[in-house]
Amino acid sequence: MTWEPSILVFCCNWCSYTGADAAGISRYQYPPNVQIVRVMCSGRVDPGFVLRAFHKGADGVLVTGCHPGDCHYQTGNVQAEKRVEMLKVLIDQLGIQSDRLGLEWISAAEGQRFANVITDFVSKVRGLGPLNGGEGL
Amino acid sequence: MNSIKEALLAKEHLKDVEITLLYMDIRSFGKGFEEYYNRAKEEGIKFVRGKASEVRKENDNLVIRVENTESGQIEDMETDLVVLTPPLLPAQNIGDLAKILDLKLDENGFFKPDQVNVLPLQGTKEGIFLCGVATGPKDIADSVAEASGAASGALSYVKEKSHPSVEIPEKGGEGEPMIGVFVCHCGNNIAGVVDVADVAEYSEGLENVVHGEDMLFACADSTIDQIIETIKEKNLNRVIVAACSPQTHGDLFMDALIKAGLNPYLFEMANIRNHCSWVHANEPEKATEKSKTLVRMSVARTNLSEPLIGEKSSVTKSALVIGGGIAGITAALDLDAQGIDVTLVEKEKEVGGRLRELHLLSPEGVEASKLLKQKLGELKKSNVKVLTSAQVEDVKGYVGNFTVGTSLNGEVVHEEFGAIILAIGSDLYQPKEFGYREYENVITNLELEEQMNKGALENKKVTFIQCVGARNDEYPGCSRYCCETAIHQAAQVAEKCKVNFLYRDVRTFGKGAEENYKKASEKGAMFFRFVDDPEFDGKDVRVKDVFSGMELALPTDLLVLSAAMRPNVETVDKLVEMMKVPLSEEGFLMERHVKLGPVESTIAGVFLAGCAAGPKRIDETVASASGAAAKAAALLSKDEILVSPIVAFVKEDNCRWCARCSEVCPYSAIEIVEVEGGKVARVNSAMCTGCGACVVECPTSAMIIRGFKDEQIEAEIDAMMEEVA
Repeated sequence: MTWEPSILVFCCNWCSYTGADAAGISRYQYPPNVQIVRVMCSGRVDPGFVLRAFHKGADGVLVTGCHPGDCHYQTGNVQAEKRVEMLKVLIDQLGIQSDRLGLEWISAAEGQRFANVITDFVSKVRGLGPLNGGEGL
Repeated sequence: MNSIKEALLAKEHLKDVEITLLYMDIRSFGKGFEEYYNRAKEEGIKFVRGKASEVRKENDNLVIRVENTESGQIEDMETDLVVLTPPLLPAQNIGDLAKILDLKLDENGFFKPDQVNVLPLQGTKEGIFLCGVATGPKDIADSVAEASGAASGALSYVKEKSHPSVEIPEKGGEGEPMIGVFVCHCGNNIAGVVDVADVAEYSEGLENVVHGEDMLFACADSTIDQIIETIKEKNLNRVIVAACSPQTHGDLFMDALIKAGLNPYLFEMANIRNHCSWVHANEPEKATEKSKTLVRMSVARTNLSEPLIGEKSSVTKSALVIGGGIAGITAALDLDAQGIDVTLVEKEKEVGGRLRELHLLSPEGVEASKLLKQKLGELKKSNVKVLTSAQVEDVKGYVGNFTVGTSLNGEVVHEEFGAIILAIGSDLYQPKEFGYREYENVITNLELEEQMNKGALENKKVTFIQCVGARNDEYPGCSRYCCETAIHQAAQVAEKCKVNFLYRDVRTFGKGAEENYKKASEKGAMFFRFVDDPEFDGKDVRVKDVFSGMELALPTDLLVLSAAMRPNVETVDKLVEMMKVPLSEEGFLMERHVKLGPVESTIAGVFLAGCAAGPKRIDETVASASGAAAKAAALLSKDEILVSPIVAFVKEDNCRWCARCSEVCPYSAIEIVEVEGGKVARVNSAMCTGCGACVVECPTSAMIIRGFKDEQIEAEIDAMMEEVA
């Protein structure tokens, strides 16, 4: 069987999860390599969750939330952005290519954008190869 | 606007499709609509200003004959598909209903409001209220606001009110988890792609799953009963429905659990439709595999679920209305009519707001001063406590229990309120263009009202320019009030003056406004459409008229600028500081949902009336104010409320009070408490919104969020990475 990337996507309850629902309603197709975990806010995404996903073998992790200024909790997405920046440095030091971690803002209305973002991220991770192959871990 | 949406959706579905939209005026006046229109242009939708005269068939193709009013050319356009946009008409049986209810209809056949400006929701017979398209065409947001407003009117006649209370089972989930998994076909929506029977069978092999079943429509009444029966029969203590989105159907299944005697938070949804069958329609095998993974993740999470119940919180039975314009006055009077204690705070010396400055109101020409007098009379007779020259200085607390400090005569007084209505109004743009403040003969449309209040204009050449400070790069939105009020002014001025009216699009969408547009034309007002901004040198307005293509110089004695409605920045900034109310892009207050929650803010217990949330005309302001009053009244009629149980709590043994949680909390819901041996953080459940930011920030794992505990999310991650057995 050919290798297929496994990708974890964190969606916030208010924007990107609903954006993913909207992608469905409009039938925008994207690759089935992603699994969505719903959290109330992108600010709830603990760095530990991201590290755990890589530890368990996820080939990519994408954190998604509301556009800047739109956060239902006002500043949660700002926190998420800071943490993703920090995590990118950290995983790089651990030998995991930082491109395997992504951050995207998707509003509740942006079904098309959700599908595009997922399609692009899957193809990017596909290009990086399997986690323990590309890194030689 | 609806056509623009359809065009853009069609374009998104069929990438290569060429779409032309024939229009007379682009009427994208709703909140965010102008931005949407701009996006449609960027996406390549072609807008042609012209009316089709015929559609004929030529060699299997459809040909539309159009007069392009901008080029002046008659064009034949070949097309594969013609989509017609018919107008909204009154409901077919509206005449019969009007007879039965003894209500009057207007000249277009819609229900006639008792007074178009300040009683837009009151029918011509007392005690009968109107809302939505029953009184004329409108969009969803306005219909929803009106519906709440009509309910407010009706409630003032209802003496006894009671809320049917549903007891939420506190228990469930004890002992070993016994999980039931119900996999929905959604007709063909899921089953057409995913092998649902296989998914149901697979689920039975997962940890603690004792029942797996597929069903045609999980949300059908009979199926819900079946789920309830199965829960009881098999002693299930946790339930998963693999179907659509918890956003749309979660509440329905949670209610089913309540009926089955289980706490609703022992329910979980796996979204195998919106996130799977619909978006992987061409990969059925992979979609089935993904559905199994989604169910596996839900099972892992559900094994760790626990019954949750929100804390009860008392409700202070009084309301505060901030802002004493027509919005605030209407909201206060509505609440008072429902027997609720209301305080109205106005920063100026007198209430009345913008209505004080207006002369005759569009569309019927009713005197603003007369309506205001009537409203002030009602206010005097009411029990509303009116505070003028007063300012709100600080707001603390949460839904049902706000403590508000108001400064009055240099003294700050604190008082408790259960609900707050923000009726802060808006500002008008102070033009920097067209020589305003430089030439004496350049005024705004508001200043024209003052002049008209003093007496009619005579023997002058008057030019109006629309969209000043609106629909530009700095401020893309439409101010929605100005076309119809300026045209109403133009119709009056045209009685004794020469009037030229320069516009981008004529947006006379309100009741009676289109008729005034016609009236103004009949009285001799000349209308010129521009794309490039006109110029003024103190004597002549120079403009390129789109229709004739000619550069015109219009001699002008008085230039009237229609100034954009802008956010009331000073007040808004203060509210943001005190209450953290979120703002939309243009700086107006943000609604809970732009269409479905137009009079509620995103903060529980705080409601929005009038132009606080965006530009509105007077009738719309009044309708939204009544709507906000209805929402506030619904809250205040309860003795106590249940707050969401998805909140943070502190394991005090682990807490070392470093204060990082309270620093990231956007709602000031975390306080320091002295305990034996030190200080710890404590969460106010009623103020906590459950975002979880504090949990991530806590360095000692003392902060936990119910319903989204670390272990639950970690279990989902682990389950995702397991192979399908």
